[in-house]
Amino acid sequence: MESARDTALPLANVDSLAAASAIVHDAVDTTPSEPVLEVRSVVKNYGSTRALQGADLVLRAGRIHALMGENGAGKSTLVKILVGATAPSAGTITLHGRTVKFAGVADAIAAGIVPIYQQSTLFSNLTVLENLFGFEIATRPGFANFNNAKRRLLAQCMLDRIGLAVELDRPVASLSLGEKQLLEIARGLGRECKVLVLDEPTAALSQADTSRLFSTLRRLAEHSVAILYISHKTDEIQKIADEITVLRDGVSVLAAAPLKSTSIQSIVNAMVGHAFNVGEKNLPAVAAPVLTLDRATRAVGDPEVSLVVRRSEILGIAGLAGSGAEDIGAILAGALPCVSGTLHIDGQPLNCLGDRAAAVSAGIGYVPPDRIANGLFPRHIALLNASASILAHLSRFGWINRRKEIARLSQVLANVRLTPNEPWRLIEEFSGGNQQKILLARNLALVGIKALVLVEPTRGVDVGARDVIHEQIMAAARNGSAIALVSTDLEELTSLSHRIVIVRGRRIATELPHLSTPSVVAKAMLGEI
Amino acid sequence: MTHVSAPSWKARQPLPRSTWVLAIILVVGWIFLPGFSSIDNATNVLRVAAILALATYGQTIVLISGGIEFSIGSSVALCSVTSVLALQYWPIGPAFLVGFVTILAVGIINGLLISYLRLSAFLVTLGMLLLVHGLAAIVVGGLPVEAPDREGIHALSGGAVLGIPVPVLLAAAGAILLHLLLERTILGRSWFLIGSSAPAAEMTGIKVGRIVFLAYFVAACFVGLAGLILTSRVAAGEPNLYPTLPFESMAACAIGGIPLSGGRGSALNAVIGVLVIAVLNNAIVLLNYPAYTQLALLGVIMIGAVMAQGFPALKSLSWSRSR
Amino acid sequence: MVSLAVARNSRGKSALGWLLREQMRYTIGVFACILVAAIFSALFPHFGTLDNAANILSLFGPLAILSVGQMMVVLIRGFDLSVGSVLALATVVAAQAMNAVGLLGLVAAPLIGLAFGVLNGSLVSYFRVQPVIATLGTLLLARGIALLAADNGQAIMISGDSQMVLLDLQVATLGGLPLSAVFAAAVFALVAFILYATRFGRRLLMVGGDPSSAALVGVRVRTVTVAAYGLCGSCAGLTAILIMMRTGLGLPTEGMGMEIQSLAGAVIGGTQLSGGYANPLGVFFAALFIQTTQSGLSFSGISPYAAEMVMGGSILLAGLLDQVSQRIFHMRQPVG
Repeated sequence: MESARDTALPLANVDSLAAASAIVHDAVDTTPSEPVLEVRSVVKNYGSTRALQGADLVLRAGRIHALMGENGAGKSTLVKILVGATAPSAGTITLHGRTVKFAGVADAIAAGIVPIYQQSTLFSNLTVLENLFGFEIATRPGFANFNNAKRRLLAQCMLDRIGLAVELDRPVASLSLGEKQLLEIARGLGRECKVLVLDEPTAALSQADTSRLFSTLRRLAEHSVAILYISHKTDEIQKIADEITVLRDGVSVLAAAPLKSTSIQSIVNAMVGHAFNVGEKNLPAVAAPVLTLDRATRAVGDPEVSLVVRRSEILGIAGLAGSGAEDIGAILAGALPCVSGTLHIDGQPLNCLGDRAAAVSAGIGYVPPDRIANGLFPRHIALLNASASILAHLSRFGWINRRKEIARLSQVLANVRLTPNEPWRLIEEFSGGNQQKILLARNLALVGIKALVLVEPTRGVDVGARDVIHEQIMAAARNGSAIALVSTDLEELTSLSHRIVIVRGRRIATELPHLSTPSVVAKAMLGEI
Repeated sequence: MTHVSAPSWKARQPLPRSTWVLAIILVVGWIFLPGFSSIDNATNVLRVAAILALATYGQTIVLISGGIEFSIGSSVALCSVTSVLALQYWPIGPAFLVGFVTILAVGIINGLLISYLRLSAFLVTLGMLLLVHGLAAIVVGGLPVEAPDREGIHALSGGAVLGIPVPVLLAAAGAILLHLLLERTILGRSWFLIGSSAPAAEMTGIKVGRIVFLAYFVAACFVGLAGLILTSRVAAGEPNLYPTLPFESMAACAIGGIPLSGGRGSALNAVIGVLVIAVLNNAIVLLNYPAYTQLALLGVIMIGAVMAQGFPALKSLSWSRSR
Repeated sequence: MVSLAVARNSRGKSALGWLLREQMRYTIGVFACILVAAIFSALFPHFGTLDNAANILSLFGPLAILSVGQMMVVLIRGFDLSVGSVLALATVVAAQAMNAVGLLGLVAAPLIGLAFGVLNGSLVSYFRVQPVIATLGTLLLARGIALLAADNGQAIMISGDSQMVLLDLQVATLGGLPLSAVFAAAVFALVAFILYATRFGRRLLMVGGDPSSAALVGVRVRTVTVAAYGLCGSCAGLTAILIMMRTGLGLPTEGMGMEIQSLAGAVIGGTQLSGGYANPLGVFFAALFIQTTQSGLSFSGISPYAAEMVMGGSILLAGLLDQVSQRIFHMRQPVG
């Protein structure tokens, strides 16, 4: 059994990857545009994890290039390398044919590569005006003389172009998520650039905003800007992009395929890696309601949400980023307070006030979406990470019984096939997939677990771990737990769920039956069903 | 079922690097400094170090749980003031109890403000440093107050059992207690988890507010002992009793290998840190260096020790997120 | 003009609410100042005189400058515990320098301050030492060097012409105001200029507000950190000049406890420990408030330590008020 520290994959995996990756090249375009930014065989290691292992990307002037891939495929890492936020462990980057090494983001920006990030990099403590000129402020010396007429006019133009109507002097902290996203885009567009990199820019945007963004992008393309557009929305990609590259497990499996001649099916196949069989998994029979959420509202003015999860049921909860799906999962787990509504577990009421301690005692497990932010305990061993929820059970009068701890957790960790099965190792020494397994184990170890809420349980997780996690989810369901699965991974949702509720605009919009296909789910998430 | 053997618990806690620093100083001192290795000298050094040790145990607990304690210097001062005043009416036992309760009260206030009102620990303990010191000074009218002549007032600080000074026994017992608390109890484990990642701790069902409050309360218990020993030693109510105590205890923690960002630490780390400071001070005194070199040297060593620990940057986990 | 009509998609957080909340933080110092002055003037008729006001103004300079230096560092989520000791060292070195080369030796004070500031900043940014430990270490280092350099703890009389000049400066006035107050005001003006009129100032706010975003946008975070600590140290050096004007000495035991007072000044002046928010004007009035309190209390014959209690209590109150204002004006952002 190889240790998690090995940076080289065992030969078997490499071979199967090579076999599975069909690099599709269609007929070459009649008007080839000059390649502006090229990335060849780029590798990126983070400790013992390989985020990228030989990714290729070629961005041409005047072309809108789409980049797709599942969560954890390496998209964000590739973007970070392109914009100079991190350096590749191996591979080359060439700009206009010359090899470049960016010392930092300032370098990349100076070279004409402008990033528009997925996670907001706006500054809440500065005004809209100051944020618009953020790149300049950050990198150029001089005075902060942005308040003259010329600058303000320029800023206003930047806002108008994107259709954002906010006052220039407003502190950004007071803007809504959608407004912030538009502002982030406006900032990127306002800069002279050769390459524009957009990472999931429409997550919180309306249809109208998206159309406006697209026309701006097309205009930029006419001016020979090379545009990289990263998104998981296939319909958008079809509307705006000229060519597409698909990443899977850190490698480009579909490189620069022209969109006109590439079908959605082949794109999805490239992303997922194999033709999936919906209905392959054997789901257990469903019984009485266990977890009931009744007319819960997160904040004043929000729509009411009601949900029921039954014994042995796996309820899929699907929604795009910003739709409120993750929040609903958190409310179900008692991790997020609501201003009104009730939560019942096995008939027993829980206050809907975000009291995780009460929820844990009542037997509700929770795997939160961001394991770094609020899942794992850094610089502690796996054992400690896994036993955190059952400390009371492992002790008497406050004294922890170590033997019991080791015994109980060893079993659970073996069940999730922790690799390597060394609970004494520090959590950082495990791969993302194994870390997620440890989080799952923490919940599976709960004595008297009645319900389990998982949000994006296989985000940033390799294929092997993903299978094990799915297996364990189903085993938990078979054992009688009620499971709520919030995910944007369509294959995961469709193969595991008894039924899927679609969340749009913070409300439950519709419910889809068992054996719905991923494209049906995708369409429902977008509101086209 | 896989059975993992017990020694692994010890295996994951290597000796802190500062142990080597301590060892080197001890060896060098033994060889080169006359009088360093005498029993008398060692006893004296340990007797004084015991006070810092007990206070450092308290700071350790607070640091591990992710907080910080600036007010302990002022609270031991207030303890001396209240005990000495109480001595005018009561015998030693109850009077010292008053002092102990004083320190507990400060700890409780800190704990409540930090855990339930969610104010920043830095702010609260800093504000209390000033408040409590001012209070102590006002109560005695600015000048130290001599304790009434009572027999046995120096017993706590000057006494010895089987040749071992009482403070040293208390510090040793305290170390064992701290170790057990941290390693074997739910409370101690919760402190580590909260200090490591408070949001994650909340997700696992830990009652963060209560545990953080208890950190300040238990810390106050240790500091209370330190305060009583100190009061017994000087036999006076002194508002400027030990103003540098919070800083010295933080330095001891840092030198011993306890990160100020929380989540890690042990009784052993605390003890070693305190010993390094105490032995270093002693060595400098014996070397007849000007007393002020001690300060400069201490500063350099502290920074050096921290840098040598090589605390991994907090971004160690960020690599898993960027996929 | 702030429009209360929020743009579409906005979730109800009005801009006015945000502005109110932010400004409230900084006005605490002003109100506290006025309140305290009013109370003492009412209680003691001789307090509310111009003479007394001038006295207060002539005294508050050092704390003010020290506090605004601290503000720069708290702005980027750090703090500097060494300012008191650096101040002392600066007086010692400057005194010796002036005795050697005349008035020009005064320049040594801000230079020493700058040097230690840069040292602190480098420890924090390049060596990743926590600010508490780094500045604690330099506190001890500076204090030790100061005591050693000053003949093992003796005060160093500034002799000759230099002394005369300094004493003259101490009693000098500019437009009726004590020179030290004007000097402090000038320092504040400079800091305000740096903060609001230069891009470096904006970068400070970026690093304090969101260090990771700052890095992603291209800010050289480490350089900014070193510069901020350097400024703080320089302020300690400038404070040393004011102190020397008052005492005519280089004193190695100077400034004990002033690091905490400067933090108090920064915090009561509305500077957020979590970073990203600062206003020199708030700190200015906070320092004035502290000085007024101290003067008022010594005027009244109440123990001077009462001022300390007031300071401690003010820090707690400032923290409390900030929490409260967060609850009042804050509405949760939808996360998704």
